[in-house]
Amino acid sequence: MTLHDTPAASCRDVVRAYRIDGSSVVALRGVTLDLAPGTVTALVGPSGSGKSTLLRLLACLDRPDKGSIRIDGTEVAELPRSGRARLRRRRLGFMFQNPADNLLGYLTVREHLELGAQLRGMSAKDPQIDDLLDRLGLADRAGHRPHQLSGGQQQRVAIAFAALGPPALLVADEPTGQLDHATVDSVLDAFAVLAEMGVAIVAATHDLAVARRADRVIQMRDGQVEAA
Amino acid sequence: MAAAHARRLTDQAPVVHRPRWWRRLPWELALLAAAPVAWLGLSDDVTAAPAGGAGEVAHVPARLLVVPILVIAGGAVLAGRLLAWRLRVRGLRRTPARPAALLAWRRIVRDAATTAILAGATAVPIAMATYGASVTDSIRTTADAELRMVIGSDVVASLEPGSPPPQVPSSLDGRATALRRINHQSLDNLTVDVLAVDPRTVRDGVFWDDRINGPTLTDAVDQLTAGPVARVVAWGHVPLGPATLRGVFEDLPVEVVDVRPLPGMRGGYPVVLVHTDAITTDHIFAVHQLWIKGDPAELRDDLQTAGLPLTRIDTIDDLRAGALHEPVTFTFQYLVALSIFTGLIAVVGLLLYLESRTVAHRRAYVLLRRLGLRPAGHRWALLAELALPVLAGLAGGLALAHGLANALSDAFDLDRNQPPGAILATPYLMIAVVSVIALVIAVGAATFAHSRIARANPAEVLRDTP
Repeated sequence: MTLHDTPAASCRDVVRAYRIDGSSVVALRGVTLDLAPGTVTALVGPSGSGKSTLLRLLACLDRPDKGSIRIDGTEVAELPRSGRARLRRRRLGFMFQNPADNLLGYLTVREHLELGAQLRGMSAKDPQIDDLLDRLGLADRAGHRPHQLSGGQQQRVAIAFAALGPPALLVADEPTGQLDHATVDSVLDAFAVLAEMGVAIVAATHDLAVARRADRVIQMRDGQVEAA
Repeated sequence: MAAAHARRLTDQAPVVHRPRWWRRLPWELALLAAAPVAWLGLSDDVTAAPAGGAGEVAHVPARLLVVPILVIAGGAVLAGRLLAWRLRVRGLRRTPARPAALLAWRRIVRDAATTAILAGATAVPIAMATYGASVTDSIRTTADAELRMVIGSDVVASLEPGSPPPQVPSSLDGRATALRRINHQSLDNLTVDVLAVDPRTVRDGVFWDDRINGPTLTDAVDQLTAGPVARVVAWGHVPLGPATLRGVFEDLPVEVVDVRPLPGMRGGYPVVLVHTDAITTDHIFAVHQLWIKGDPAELRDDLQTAGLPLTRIDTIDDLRAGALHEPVTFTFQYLVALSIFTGLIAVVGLLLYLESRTVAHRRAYVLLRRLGLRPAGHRWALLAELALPVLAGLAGGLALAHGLANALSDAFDLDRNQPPGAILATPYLMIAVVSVIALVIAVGAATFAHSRIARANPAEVLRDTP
């Protein structure tokens, strides 16, 4: 298998259940899927279908009860807590629904990227920072702080922040949930830029615009993949 | 015409409100400007008025309290303003290499006003406490030095007239000296008291504090000789130059080589310090004495068991009874207490501030944890964010107290007619205490803030980020 054939993330028969008030609630029932590098995958489904649980497992923030999850070829279930933290730091990016949750109010756009570079073990002067700012159309906003940016610009900064490295997989939870239609496209354009860089993007969404522009749509219901 | 009139009515040049120049000045300059006014307005010829009768107590001039409070308040606010300005102008020029340091430094710089307030709030109680302790210690040290200058040491034991020169008991080795005191002699036409000392041992038993301004006791002793014309040192209204020392012993030609404060001026007459070998003849009016340093209560017991023919023991404790400096130092102990109260208010304010930003920092913490920042790194960033302003406040507060104590030290002398003048004591214990307290507060506040922030679980569902 060549490097390109290796999925950025793969799930095999993943089961995850929670105990709530003494009773067991199964959130995922044997989910199997692969996320190829350089693709945008939309994860859709009604509330309670297991999207967020799947995202959390893909983000290495939790471990499955059964089954296997591999990120960039590494089996997550076998990793200790520190190993998962290291994997998160090096190979995963995150993007949250609320733009304010993705950014730190006291850092400028450039400082976000410098911090992101340092957290990933890179130099704060890495040329990737300027390259990302250019590609995502943020070069002229490098000295601005989050409150000086629009919601779409904030989400693009969050994408740039998450894309340093670059990671194997970007996990996004409702990335356009709080944006108006006019700015959704700019975020999706940014996703396309990342995909060109070889990053696999998986986004839980209710936004049809995201689903329409995704390379692949995975429909979930009752903890299972209904259609892919 | 109508259009021109209408334009005149509507196209008014915008009114530019230029604040008067004095409105641009920092308000704390008013506090600093008030300090010299208060100093002059509250001036008093006496530093402390001794109790003059029943019901009267010694007092300290109000300016020694008012002026430092004005300077500390104004100086701390002005220094905080300059710190904030400096951080805004220069703080962003450097990018720390580690993520935690970058976070801490950016928070410090971007919230420069809070950083400055924290530093100022730290500096004020530290400056007040340290200044209060410095004044208290200096007044006590000065007052004690004045008493010791009168009797010459902690304990002076006088032997019976005609007794042979005493040997210093072995239990007092290194802290006592034997000398002869011959009162009421004549230096030309002046009545003087003569102290015949052994230069080799005089430093062991005679009081001196090297913080006293001017030449030291060692400088004086080093000038003594016992040649044909003995070189002597005097204290009092004594002219320099050749003179003749007359008394019950044969005339002694001397040269007064220095006039400076000396211990042992008890009777109001000038004192002349003479090399013991210069006075070869002994006589009945010469009183042999032991001058001893140490705790008077213990020394009294040692002397009484030494079997010496003692006629009198004078101690520093005898003179301390009724000393006027204690009520004065109480005033400054109140200042220390006030600073503790101020410090408590600052600590409560700090904790409330940390609590108020917990929600925002918890959100940032979740983000950073997911990006791989370790809890220890976050704790370190918080510690640096709090400790740097606290340390700046500590340094500023100590500098303010040191500067004030130095500037006002002349006023710490309660009795300016009595040598050796004000001795400025550095309150090392208070400095150590406030330094430790400041560090404990910084570490404790950072730990508290981290524990509140770190309650967020990074494994929570993304959209449920608290």
